[in-house]
Order: sequence, then C-alpha cells, then structure tokens
Amino acid sequence: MEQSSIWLDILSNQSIISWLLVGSVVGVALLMGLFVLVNGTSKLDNGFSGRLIQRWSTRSVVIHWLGAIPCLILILTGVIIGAGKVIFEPGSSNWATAVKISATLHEIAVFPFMIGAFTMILMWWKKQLFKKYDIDWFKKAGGYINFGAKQHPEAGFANGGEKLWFWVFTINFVVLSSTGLMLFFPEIAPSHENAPVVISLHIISAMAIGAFAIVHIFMATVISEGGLSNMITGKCDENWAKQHHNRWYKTVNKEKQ
Amino acid sequence: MDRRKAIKLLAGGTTVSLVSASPVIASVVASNTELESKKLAMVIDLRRCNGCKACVTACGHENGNEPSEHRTQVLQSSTEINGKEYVLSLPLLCNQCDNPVCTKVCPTGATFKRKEDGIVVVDSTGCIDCNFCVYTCPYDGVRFTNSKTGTVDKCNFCIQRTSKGFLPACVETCTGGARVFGDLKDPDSSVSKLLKEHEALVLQSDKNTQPNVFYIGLTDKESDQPYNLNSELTWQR
Repeated sequence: MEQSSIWLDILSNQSIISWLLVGSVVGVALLMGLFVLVNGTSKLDNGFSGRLIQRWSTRSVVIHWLGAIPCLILILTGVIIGAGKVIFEPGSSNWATAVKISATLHEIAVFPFMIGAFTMILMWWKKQLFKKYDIDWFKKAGGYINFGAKQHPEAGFANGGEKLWFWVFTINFVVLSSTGLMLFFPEIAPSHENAPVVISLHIISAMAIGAFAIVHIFMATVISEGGLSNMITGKCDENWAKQHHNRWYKTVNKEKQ
Repeated sequence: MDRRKAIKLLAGGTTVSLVSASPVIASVVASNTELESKKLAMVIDLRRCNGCKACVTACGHENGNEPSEHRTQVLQSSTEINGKEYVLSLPLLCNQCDNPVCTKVCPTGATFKRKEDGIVVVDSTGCIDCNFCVYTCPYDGVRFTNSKTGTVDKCNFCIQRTSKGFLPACVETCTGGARVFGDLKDPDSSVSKLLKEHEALVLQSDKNTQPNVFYIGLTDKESDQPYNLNSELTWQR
C-alpha cells in the first residue's frame, strides 16, 4: 500500500502547518485584541448591583481550573513543539531548549488536563444542550457587537456561544486525547498507514481548541464585564445574570420564591 | 548624440541584456550548487554478504551504541528459490530516503534531510523522542531510542566519517566487500558503476520513499517484504 496519503501530503507542508498553529493562538489573540479596540467591551447596562448570585459550585470552579491550567500549558507548549522550527532557528540552542522543555511540560500537563476536562464534560453537558432560542443568540452575535441598537438575546444557564465552545471542546477533547494517547503509549501506537492521520488529527484538533480557548479567555476576562468572578468565587452579579443569562436568572428567582 | 545620452543608452542596453540573461545565469549558478551537493548511497551486493556481522560490531563501536541498540543489523533469514531453501543474509539500515516520511512528521524539525549529501539525520539536541518518525517509517526497527541520549537514533551513514571523506564503519569493515558506498551524482563512483552494471532493488518500493540503499541479488518478492531490523533470528552461525 502506498504511504503517500492525503494526510502525509498535509504534513509535508511543515512551515504552513507551523504558522497555522501559531496563528490559531497568537493570531486569534491579536484578532480578539483588535476586536476589543474597534468594538469595545460589553459593559453592564445598569452597572454592578452588588447582589451576588451563586452560579458555580466550588467543586465546579476547582475542576474548571484543574482542566484549564494544564490546558493552557498544553496549548502553549504544543505550539512551541509544532512551530519551534519556524519561531527559532533549528539547530540553535534556543530551539533545542524550547522544544525539550515544552515536550516535558506537555507530558506533565496532559493527565491532569484529561481528568479535569473529562469531569467538566460529565458535570456540565446537560446544561449545554442547544435550545431553540440559541439560534437567535447567534443571529445577534450574542449582542456583543456594539454598533447599532443595543440588544441582549435570550440565554439560559449557558448562552449559544458558551454552548458552542463546550461542544467544540468536547469533540476536540475526545480527538486530542485519543490520538494523544496513541502517540504517547507505544503499546497502542498507530500503524505506518494510520500514523499520518493520527498526527494530523492531533494538530487540527489542537488548532481548533487553541483558537476557541483564546476567544473563551477574552470573553471571560476582557470583553464581558462582571464575567470573571464566576470562575473565581463561583458567584456573579445579579445585573450580569439578568443581562447575559435572562432565562437562567428567572429560574433562580423562582427557586428563591 | 551627445556623450551623456550615449552613456545612458549604453547603460540601459547592459541592464536589459543582463536582465534577459538572468534566468540563464541563475540556472548556471543553481546547477553549480547542485553539482556540489552529493547524493550519498549504499549498494549492498547480497551475493557477497556472508552474514559475518562485522558491520554490526563496527557500527556499534564507531557510534558508541549499547550492544542491544543497533543502527544496522544483518537479518539472518532464508529464501526459497525454485523450491530449494537458501540462506539469506540481509543487511538492514536506515534507507536515507529521497522522499522520507520521517522528516514530514517530525514536529520539531529535528530530523531532516541534509541538502549537501542527502543524509537523513536526527539532531539529538532538538529530538523530543515523540517517536512520530518511528510510527510512520515503513522500515521497522531502523530507529531506536538511544539509552544514553534519550532521543531517537538511527544510521546516518557515519556522518562524522563520511563528511570528512571516509567510508562508513560498516563499509570499511565489510569482510565480503558487500557494502559499497559513494556518491550517486558522480558517474565514476563505485556505487554508480555497480548500479549501471547490475539490477538492484530497494526495499518496499511501493511505499514511494525512494531509498538510497540498494540491494543486488534481492528477489522482487523479498524486496516487498516489511523486514524488521529487530526480527528474531531464524538461524545463528
């Protein structure tokens, strides 16, 4: 069987793949930065109310960071492993040090990440199922575009964008961890014919998760005012809940009454 | 026509002729550098291999590898020709392919094909031992993780010797003169002459890796076999 598969052809474009890998993280970060500069952030219409609502359990917050910190390490080290040859000069000591340290960290970070990510998926998937009103959220780009009339599309516990990120994450988590485990353990190593597919899928999925993770970080820290406290204290401001998750806010109120 | 105008015209003419000649000049320069680069290859004449394994020992000594870690090995097997079994001693090593898969899948760029002589090398300083090259290479067992460096190791045609004009250790020590080494771009080299005079086959040509290790005396059927450098011995001298 001839080995020159389409996957091997993809992998032969080494510098293109390297730059796409850099672009999926650094490029997306630059684009998001530009978006914030041009469009501005999403402020709370009525400011902070000071009344806090419990949105995430402590367990959820801990598990989130158990997955998130290794995830960031995996993304950054993955980019250096895959694109070190275009960032540094191959053969130089900088290149050698960078790829070796990255490879070690990549292996250290992977198992905490898998535990954290798998637990997150199990804990949260029910709340992340798409609903009819999520279509409207996408049509209005979540109301994050500041030009024209102000709008706040409907959203439940998670909005359309968060649900999209959840499922992109879940799918790529499955692809990345299954291909990653195959590439890590020689006992389940792919055959000559399958290795190029496995390697390509690992890279493509990494690009997808990397790009979405950058957007996720921007949304949580810079763009959505009042968003970050959710994953620090587990609590959010009442006005933030009203503005971004109106349907969920109503259910919380009902429970109170 | 005044002098200034004449000089201008002359200068213009020179530029035009230089520009029009540039592809020609470029091609001459390119072919010069092409000539300077070598295409190092090994031709193994199986009729002369007696299975003594001096090459395996010499390789280990030259490259300082552990006795269990082999860059080359002589597979001791048998083959059937016209219903009769014959001994087959098959030296195996990295094929230094012209279309290698290992260099395509290496994430860090630590393994690459050298432009100057076509040797496929592994830069141990940037190899992270991810084994992608091991998984994709159709020639099983030519690579191993060097227990001293913790990185992927394989035959590099004894680069420390051949880049200085010496022969690889295995060729130097070959008792039967089966291993012949040289530059395929030099028509007068012993490898070029051997390939001109004899029919030689490469291993697993269907993989389109275009190896630079050729075998004289190998049957078509054997050449398609996915031999493993670390196969169990079927007989021992």
